[in-house]
Amino acid sequence: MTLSHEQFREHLLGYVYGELQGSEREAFEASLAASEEYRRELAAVREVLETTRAGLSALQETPPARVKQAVLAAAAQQAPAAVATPTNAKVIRLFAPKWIAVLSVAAVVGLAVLSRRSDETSRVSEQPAPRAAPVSPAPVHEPTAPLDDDNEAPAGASPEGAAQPASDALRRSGPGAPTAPASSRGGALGALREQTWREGREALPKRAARPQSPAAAPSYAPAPESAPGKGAAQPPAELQHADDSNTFKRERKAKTQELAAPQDGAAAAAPTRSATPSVTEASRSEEESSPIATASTAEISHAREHLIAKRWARAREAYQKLLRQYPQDPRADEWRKQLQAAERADGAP
Amino acid sequence: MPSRPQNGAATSKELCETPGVRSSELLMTDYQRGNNAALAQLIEQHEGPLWNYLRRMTRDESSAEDLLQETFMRVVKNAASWKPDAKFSTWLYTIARNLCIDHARRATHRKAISLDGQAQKRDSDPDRRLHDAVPGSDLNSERLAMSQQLKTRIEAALATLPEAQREVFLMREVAALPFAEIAQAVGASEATVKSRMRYALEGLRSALAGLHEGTQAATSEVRP
Repeated sequence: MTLSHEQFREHLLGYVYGELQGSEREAFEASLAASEEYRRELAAVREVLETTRAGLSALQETPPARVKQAVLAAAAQQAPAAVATPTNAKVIRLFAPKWIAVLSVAAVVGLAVLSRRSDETSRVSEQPAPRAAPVSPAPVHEPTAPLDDDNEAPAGASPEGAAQPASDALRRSGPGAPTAPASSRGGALGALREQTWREGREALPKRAARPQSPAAAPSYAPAPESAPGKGAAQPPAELQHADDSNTFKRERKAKTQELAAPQDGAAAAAPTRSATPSVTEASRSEEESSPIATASTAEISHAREHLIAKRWARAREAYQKLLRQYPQDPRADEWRKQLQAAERADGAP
Repeated sequence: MPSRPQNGAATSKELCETPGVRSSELLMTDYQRGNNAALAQLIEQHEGPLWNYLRRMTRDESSAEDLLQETFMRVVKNAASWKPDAKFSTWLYTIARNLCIDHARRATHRKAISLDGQAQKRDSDPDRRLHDAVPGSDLNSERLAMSQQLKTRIEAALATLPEAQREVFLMREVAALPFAEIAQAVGASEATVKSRMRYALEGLRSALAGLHEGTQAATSEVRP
């Protein structure tokens, strides 16, 4: 089989350099044997190569030794840190962006959890000492009590309403709050609430008014549990957010301490103001005449959470507080059992 | 016809085929694991052919030295990216070729900036002096004159080749890379590389056609 001239030229260099193998080589050699022209062409290529190789040998030079020394010195400085295995480098290249994203998300989630926990901790720490300061601000996520004492329950009848501190009035107030507290209904407690509401409204920073709607409430604020169907005003979303801010917390704490007064029983939960003894007396008398106060579901579940989480000391405090504030609550016996269990677990006498 | 080393030393391919001599790929793998001695062996294997390749491509010794060092520095810097299933020589010459291209671009830019400087450089070019050599007392030997003439003509012939043909010729003849590896290094098909090589050989044949007569003339000039 004789190769065409095009095929011959295609295989010529492969043959010259020994890269032509097998049947292709045999076909090429057969073509060479059959064609004088092919043999001349091969001879010409070899002649040029021999000439150039001779010339290149004359041009042969050795590289400067300093190049090798410089490279080795540089390599010694950066090895082995810069030299990674290909597998490692590949893995790093593959996952580096993902790791950055995952770490970022984890950091955000961690901050959120820490913020939530610190908020809870601050709420727990804000719990007044037994008897000394029985008024405690409701947690942000606690169901909001009705501001207005409607006809179904008298003022202070609702435990949430009775336990509602002035700070909650602050939380509810604001430009977005559509209605003022129900102090217009009359009574000393109503007057106190109105006063507190006005003070809190003045203390709040100016905000852009937003339409109030339950959907606007943050997801961490559950729907009201303890006062369903009472037409309780949902606090505006921006105010619930404001409640998270440290500034507002400080203000709320100061307000709570300011309002704290020696009280007992269900009356302890009544918002009183020491600077206004007449109002305090009036509210006290009003609270004393109120029916049995019962704890909110949120307060109970709060204590139960501590118990489940085996935070014995906090569980004890929470149940002690429940028993202290709501001694006549029908669930008081159950709380006592839980308190005893927490005390046993905590090793308390 | 097997390819022959042009610098008197064994090519990297021959070294790898020699018993007791580790392949470049094994050495590179060792270096990736932190063995600097392997890098030293790698440099020893490849610096000669690479130096002559760069020397002929740049036609300037100081530039070739810079590029040689830079090529090995890039090997060091990018050692982690090299994969063991790739031919080390292909990778090495790909780096060197890219550096040559950058160097040629910079040189073109400089040439455009200062034509006077170019003329001065040409006047001070040692190769230029060789080309216009005035015979001295040490050139009495006919063999030396022939060698000088051959060297001069070969260099001039190589200089006339287009870059694409010259790099293929040098990779094949100086570095002894197979056509398949050259194709990878220059980013072209093997058929294209062989075609460029064929054109390079034809160009060299034309440029060296009067070598024998020229050599005789040079020799006669040397003789009194």
